[in-house]
Amino acid sequence: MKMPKLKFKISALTVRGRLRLVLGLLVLMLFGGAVVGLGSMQLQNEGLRRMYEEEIMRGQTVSKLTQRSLMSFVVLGEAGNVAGKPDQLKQKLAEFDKLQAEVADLKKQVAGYRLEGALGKQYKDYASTEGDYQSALKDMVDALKQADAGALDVLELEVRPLLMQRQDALNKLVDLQSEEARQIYADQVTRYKAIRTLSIASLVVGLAVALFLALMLSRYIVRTLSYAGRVAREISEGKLGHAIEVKSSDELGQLLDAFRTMDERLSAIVAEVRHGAGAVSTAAQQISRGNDDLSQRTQEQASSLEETASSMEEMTSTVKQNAENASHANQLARGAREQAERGGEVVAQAVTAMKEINSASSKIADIVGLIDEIAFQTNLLSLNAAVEAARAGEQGRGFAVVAAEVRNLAQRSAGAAKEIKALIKDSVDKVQTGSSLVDQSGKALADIVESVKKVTDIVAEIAAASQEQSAGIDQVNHAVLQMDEMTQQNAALVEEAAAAARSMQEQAGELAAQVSFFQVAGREEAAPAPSAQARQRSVAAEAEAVFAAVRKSRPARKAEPAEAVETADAGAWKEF
Amino acid sequence: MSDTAHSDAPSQYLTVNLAHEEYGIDILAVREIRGWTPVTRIPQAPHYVLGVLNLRGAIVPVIDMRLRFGLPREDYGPTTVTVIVTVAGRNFGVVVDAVSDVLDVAADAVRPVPDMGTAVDTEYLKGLTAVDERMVLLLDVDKLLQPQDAQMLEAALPAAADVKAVA
Repeated sequence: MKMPKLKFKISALTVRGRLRLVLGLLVLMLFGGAVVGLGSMQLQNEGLRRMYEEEIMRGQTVSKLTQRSLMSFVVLGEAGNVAGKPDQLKQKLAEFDKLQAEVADLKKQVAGYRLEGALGKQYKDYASTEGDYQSALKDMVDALKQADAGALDVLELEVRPLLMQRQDALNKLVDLQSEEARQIYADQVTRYKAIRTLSIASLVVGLAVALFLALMLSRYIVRTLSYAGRVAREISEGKLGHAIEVKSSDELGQLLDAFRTMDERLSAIVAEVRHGAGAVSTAAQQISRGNDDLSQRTQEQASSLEETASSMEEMTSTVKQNAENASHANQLARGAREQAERGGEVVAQAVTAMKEINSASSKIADIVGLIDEIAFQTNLLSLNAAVEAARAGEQGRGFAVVAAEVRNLAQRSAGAAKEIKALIKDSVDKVQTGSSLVDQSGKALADIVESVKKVTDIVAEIAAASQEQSAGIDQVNHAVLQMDEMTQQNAALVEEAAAAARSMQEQAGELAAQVSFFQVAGREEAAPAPSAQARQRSVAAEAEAVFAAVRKSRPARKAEPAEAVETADAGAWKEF
Repeated sequence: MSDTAHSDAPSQYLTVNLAHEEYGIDILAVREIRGWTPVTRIPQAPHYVLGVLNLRGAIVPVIDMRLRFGLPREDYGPTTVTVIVTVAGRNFGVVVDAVSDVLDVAADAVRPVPDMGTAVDTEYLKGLTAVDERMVLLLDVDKLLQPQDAQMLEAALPAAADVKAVA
């Protein structure tokens, strides 16, 4: 019943399940054997117990009862023999009472046994004589106590038959019990034989089943593992494209499935690597060409940077000279300002002098006015003298002449005074004009001072700006030098990149050679080829486009192609 | 004196300036030439009589020639002088713009005054004479001061002297 079900299920079970099944079966068998053994031992034990408790113990008790009854009878007999001797009688009676007590105890024990069947009947026979026996014993004891001479007779006549009857019954009981014990033993032997047969049979069957299952399992596992090992060995030898069939879904099936997947993947990878190596080789060639271009242009850049550096140096010297000139101009402007300020002071002094001249002129004018007044008065006096002379007539002729001379002198002095006055006025006017001019020139000088100050400031700013410019040009110079250095480094890097591209090409070839170790079955070789070739073509086209863009663009448009290169080959160029 | 003036001997004239014209005053009529000094005004006097002047104790009336000749009065300048002349034994001052010279004029050099052509009423003029192409108007001093004026001044002078004394 069990085996066909297992057969149906066994292919669906996992290896673990199968192992568990086999082990479980063995455990079950072990458990069954143990249960059977323990059960049979229990039964045997039960038989032994029964034999001991029900048969041997009871038999002994009954035997003891028999013996005690006999002993009490014997004691009664002895008591009867010594009826004339109260001391001995009394001793014997005490012994009898003691034995009777023991007999009563034993009787109680026997009465406590549940006796069935023939045993029960036998016991009833025994028990039915109890009352008679006890009364006979009592009579006997009474007779003994009364020291009756007929006590022995009582014993012989009353007690002995009863005792014999009872002893007989008890002996039969013992015999019955022995029979029973024998029966029990026979049963035990029979049972033992049956159990032995069953155990041996089931052991044989179970061992056969377990052996069969273990053989099946080990054959299955070993076959699958050896197949897997063969496939793995072939893969290690480079043979790919195995047609692995997976029949089961257990661990070994999964292992085979994993091998199949690995085989397929490896085939695909090898194909891709093969075509990828070709693509890498092509791309490496393109990169090599691009590097040549880049190298050339880096050299051009380096030369133009050198020119720039030399121009910057010239410019630096020019700007430094400019700064020096500006500081010189600043000093000159400061000097000019000081001189202009000094000129302003001079002008102020000149204004003061002009004012002094003006006051002196007005004093002179006053003096001249005084002279004029004197001349006028002299003129009047001379006229008066002329009048007097005219009055004097002939006597006044000479006086008249003198008066005329005096008048003449007075008029001349008046004229001179007038001229002086005019001159003084003129000079005062001129002095005023001059002082106004000096004022204007002072203002002009102040303006000049202001302008010169502004000029000084501007020149100072120019000087500062020139110095800043100089510093800035220094920085620019430094930057240009750095750029030059970096361009040199770039050139070196381009060389390295070219070498790396060549190395990459070589390694791509090497990779292709290495990959050719794998032999892919024909049907799988064709499958990934188109996509890989297309990718290769697209890579080549991209690289070509980038290089074309780079070649087309002149240094004026550097940024765009640089970006293009960066975006196209970002991953590749980051390393350099 | 007038006889001698009309004789061949040249007569002397004091030339004075008045409103850019040159007038000649007979030198013998001239008493004194003095600078302009302010005068004491006389009430009720004619408008051309400026006032009186104390000439070394003598009270002398002063006439402004411009006003006398109906010319506009100008401010007195530093050259303004008062010429004291003697007419009919009486002194009076004549205020002119300036005195310039003493001129000898021959009798035949004196030309009669034409009827018209001057700003001055011809009744005060004795004649004309040319000196170096400039015309000199010769004044008749006697006619400068009207008789009624002289009388009025005669009357007024003592009062003026009193006033002066008080002042």
